Amino acid sequence: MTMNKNITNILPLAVFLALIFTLAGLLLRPESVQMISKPMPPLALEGLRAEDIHGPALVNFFASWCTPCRAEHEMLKTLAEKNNIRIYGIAYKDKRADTEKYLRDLGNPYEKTGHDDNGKAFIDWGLSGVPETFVIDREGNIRLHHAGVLLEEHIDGIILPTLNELGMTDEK
Amino acid sequence: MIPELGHFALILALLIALAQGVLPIPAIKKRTAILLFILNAAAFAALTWCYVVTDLTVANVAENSHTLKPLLYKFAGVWGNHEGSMLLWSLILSLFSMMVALSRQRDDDLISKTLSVQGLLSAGFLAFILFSSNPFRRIWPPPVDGAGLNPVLQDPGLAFHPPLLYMGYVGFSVAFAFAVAGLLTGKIDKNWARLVRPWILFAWTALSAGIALGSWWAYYELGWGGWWFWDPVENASLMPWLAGTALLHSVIVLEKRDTLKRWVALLAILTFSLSMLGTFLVRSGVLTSVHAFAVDPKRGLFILALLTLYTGGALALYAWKASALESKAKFSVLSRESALILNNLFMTTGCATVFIGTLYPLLAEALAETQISVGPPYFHATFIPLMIPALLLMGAGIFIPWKQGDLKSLTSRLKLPLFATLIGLLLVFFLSQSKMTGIYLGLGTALWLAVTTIAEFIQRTELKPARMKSLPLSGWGMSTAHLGLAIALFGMIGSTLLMQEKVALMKPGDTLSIGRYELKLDGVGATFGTNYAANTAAIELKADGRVIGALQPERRYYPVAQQGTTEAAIRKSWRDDIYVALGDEDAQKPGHYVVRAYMHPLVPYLWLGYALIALGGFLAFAGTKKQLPSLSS
Repeated sequence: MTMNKNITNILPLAVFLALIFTLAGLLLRPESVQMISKPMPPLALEGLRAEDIHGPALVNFFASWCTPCRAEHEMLKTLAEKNNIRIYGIAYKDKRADTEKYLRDLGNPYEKTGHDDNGKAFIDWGLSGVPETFVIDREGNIRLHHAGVLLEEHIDGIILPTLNELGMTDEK
Repeated sequence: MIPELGHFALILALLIALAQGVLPIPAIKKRTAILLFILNAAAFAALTWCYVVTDLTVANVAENSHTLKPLLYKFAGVWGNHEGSMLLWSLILSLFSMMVALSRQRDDDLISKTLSVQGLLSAGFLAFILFSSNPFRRIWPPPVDGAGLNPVLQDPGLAFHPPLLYMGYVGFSVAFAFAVAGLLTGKIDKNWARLVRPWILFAWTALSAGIALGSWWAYYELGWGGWWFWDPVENASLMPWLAGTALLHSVIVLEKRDTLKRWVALLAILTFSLSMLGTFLVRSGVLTSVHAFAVDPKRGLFILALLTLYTGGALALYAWKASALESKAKFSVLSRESALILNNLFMTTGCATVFIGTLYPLLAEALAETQISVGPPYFHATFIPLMIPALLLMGAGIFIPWKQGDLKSLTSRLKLPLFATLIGLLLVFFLSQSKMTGIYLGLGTALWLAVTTIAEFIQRTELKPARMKSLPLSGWGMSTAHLGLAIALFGMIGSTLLMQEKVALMKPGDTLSIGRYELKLDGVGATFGTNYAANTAAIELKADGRVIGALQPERRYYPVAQQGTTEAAIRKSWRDDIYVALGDEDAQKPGHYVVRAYMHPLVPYLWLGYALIALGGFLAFAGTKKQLPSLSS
């Protein structure tokens, strides 16, 4: 009986230590999870397959339920319309009707839109949330991975310079 | 000179905090606690002075302030950044420690050990500030202007959001310190509960108000048309709130019935640990989110080390000492005790689901090297189903007496509230003809909670002034906070389930209709503020066909930070909020602007409910203060 009691008393400590080790491991992880300069991971979604993507281009993961995606949507439209940049969209775990309504209401900056219903592409591409954006070069390699919402400073500071480096011209 | 004095005060404070923590001389602890507060206040005043005069040789000021910033935001800028906010954390910690030292309590051993724990907590956070987040670091040559505060953070609601939140987080450190001291002395009992309950109530009230202000800010400033996004950083404040709510209720059981000792001790440790974890998540950058404005992995490791030391230490002590805490009181399955235990189960399970949803992506990445994301659908599917039975129970639980309840009398007392709830739902059905089950479930729960709370209040006081006057403040607090939650629920349901949203590309002259409103864009013009330029739209607003006013949403641009913000225009009424945000001019069609309109029914009740919840907490807190003198005599 006392033995049992002591075990339940130790349980919180054990759970906590396991959590701490995991968090420490995460903080100290090498930055090797990066996929920069490697070929695109596989992509075979309804609406968008890897062979559809012609770089230099952006691949943008979004969802209609994701509010930060809404915040960056205007900027994506500007990029597509004003800067003539090809953007491919991947709707993550979203209902078709919701995705369609979202693109109808806010405008559609995407060349093509894939539907990642079961989150397979999300895992293959190593995302941690939506929105996330990738820059793909002519050979189909990933050149840049931006996690989180795109702000103007990201567009001007990293996205456009990387695209320019890749020889992004106004031809589409 | 002033920054160096501030820095020096921090170094002295660290030494004093260590002395308070480790010296086994109870007699000096009162003086060290006062001195610690004075030194922290001096450091904080020094940083404030640097901000007010915009001393750009101080890196923190140069990075976060600007000569042109309005004075209020120069003040708010002190804690609007990482270093300053940690200094505020340390200041509040030392303030509370001084207040514990100055309270005239009998149990010297318990108080002295509590002050030691608080000294160690202060030392850890002061070391963190000095070694990884020094707010007084100088730069040379100084920049001409300063980099400005993140313009999104330039809002009065946000100026007070962090201080309130920190008072909540740090307030729970007092309960933590008392729990550790109580485990050491073996005295976690009625008297312990009487000493700690005011602190728990105070922390909980501040945290509730802080979360409410943050939610208000998201709604009015971020321009996303919502008040809760299940963002990791929002979750980081929700977790200690849920654990704190559980603690708040179980400490009542401890005070009244001298039972649940181990559980209360564990919850006190966990609640403050979740507060620290929240800080870790925000400051380390392990989670990417809109909130994580300042991130640095070194700081993350430091906070993680503190968390390991404090929580790990406290839990090790718990593992060692908890079996010495005996609870003997007996109570039946149908009793207030059992109802409150059920409340605790729901709150902690709810807290666990939020915890899992927030940390699962991290754990999955670390353990399985796969990356996954958890979005609002997860929280809607797990957290909300847990809260509905919790709220239903909450309505019934307040009718159950301590020790031994009686099923017959309970059902007879619940008859009328149940009847009133059903009538209310029928009315909703006939008036709205809605076919959404969620509406009935949500409104039914909210109605039930409101009706039972009012019915219990009436049964207890019979609405006689004399009896209402003699009702303890804690009773008023309970009724107010429970009613506040019911009212907030109406707002939550209205703004999520009944919300309407329209987005349109509009040119002057165009109209957009949403719900009972019609918007006409009259024009868009350029305006200027102290440190920004803006596009302002003039919109005519019609409700039910009649012109009721004008709306001026703004799209601001802050040249220093090179960032734009959305100032939504909102027309509030008790029936609904109409919320209009102006986007950028369309690149292809000059003169066309993106206009987003949201209609949020019942939103005002959300803010009213939040305010009542915080007021209820405050009333109960005030009640404990009134009670104390009689206890010590």
